[in-house]
Amino acid sequence: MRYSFITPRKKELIDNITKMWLLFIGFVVIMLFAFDLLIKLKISSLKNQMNEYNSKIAAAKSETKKLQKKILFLNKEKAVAEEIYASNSVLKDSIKNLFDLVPDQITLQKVVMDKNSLILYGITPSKDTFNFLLGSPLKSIFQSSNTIFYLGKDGWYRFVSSNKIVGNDGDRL
Amino acid sequence: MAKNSMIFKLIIFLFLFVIVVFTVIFLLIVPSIKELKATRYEYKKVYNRLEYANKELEAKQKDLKDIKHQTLKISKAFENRFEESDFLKFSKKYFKEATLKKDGNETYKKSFKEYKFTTISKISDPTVFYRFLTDINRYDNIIQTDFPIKMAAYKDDINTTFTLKVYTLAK
Repeated sequence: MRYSFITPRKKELIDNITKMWLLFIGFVVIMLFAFDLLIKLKISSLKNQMNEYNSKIAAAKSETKKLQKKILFLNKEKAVAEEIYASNSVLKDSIKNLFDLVPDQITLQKVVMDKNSLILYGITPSKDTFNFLLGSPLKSIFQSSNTIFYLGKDGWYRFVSSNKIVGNDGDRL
Repeated sequence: MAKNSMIFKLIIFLFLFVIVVFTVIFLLIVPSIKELKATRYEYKKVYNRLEYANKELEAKQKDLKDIKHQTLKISKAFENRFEESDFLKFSKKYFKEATLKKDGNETYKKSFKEYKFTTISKISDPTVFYRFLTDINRYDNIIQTDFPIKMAAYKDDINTTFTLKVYTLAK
């Protein structure tokens, strides 16, 4: 027994409009998740780069430290060498000054120079010549200055002049 | 009736759409963007630190290059081995005769090794010794002439005895 003139249409559980809406909402949600994924990938990439940069910073700092040590050592070498060169120059000037100090009348036979002392052995025509021409300048340079004279057979005086600087520095002439 | 139901459906779906989109944005996108901003800020800081470290390294490299250029001769002189025969050859330019005698063992002064020698030589006049003291600063080793210095007249020459201190790197 039929109740309708047409065959009944198949009724769907979700109609087309609902399907479209659900698909649309689903699509938007998927797009939003994809966008979030992109952001997360960007964050991860930045973090990886940061790790790489941190390693580079550590390497650069360690290299800088090494170079600084080398610079310090080279500066030290330079300072030591310059001190030695200056010491040689000062020594040269000291010896030159000593010989310039000796007048023509006095002949030196032996000179013994040490850090804090100077001993001169020589010949002088008279005690006064020595005292005026060499003794006085030596006394002005050294804190302690003693001279012993003894008369030679030729009538000239042999002398031994011991001069000392009291103190630790041992300044040269 | 059908039209009303369509409008009702539309409102419901619009409402659902807004809720879903806002929920996803607030729960997912907003925290991610916040994290991205913080990471970018941190990244910039790290990048600036890297640039600073690189600049510092470049400056040090330049400093080292300059100082190496300045101390090239000195560094080489410290590294050179002291050869007694070479020194005696050099001293022949100044002294008529010269001998070297090593005094004890080397002593260590921080990064440097010090050898002591007593030099006995014969010179014609003191100016030769001045020239020697000037030219020793240009010798292949770092050498300091030191006390005690003894000069004694002998016939026409001056017998000179002095101390030499040779400095090399303590390796």
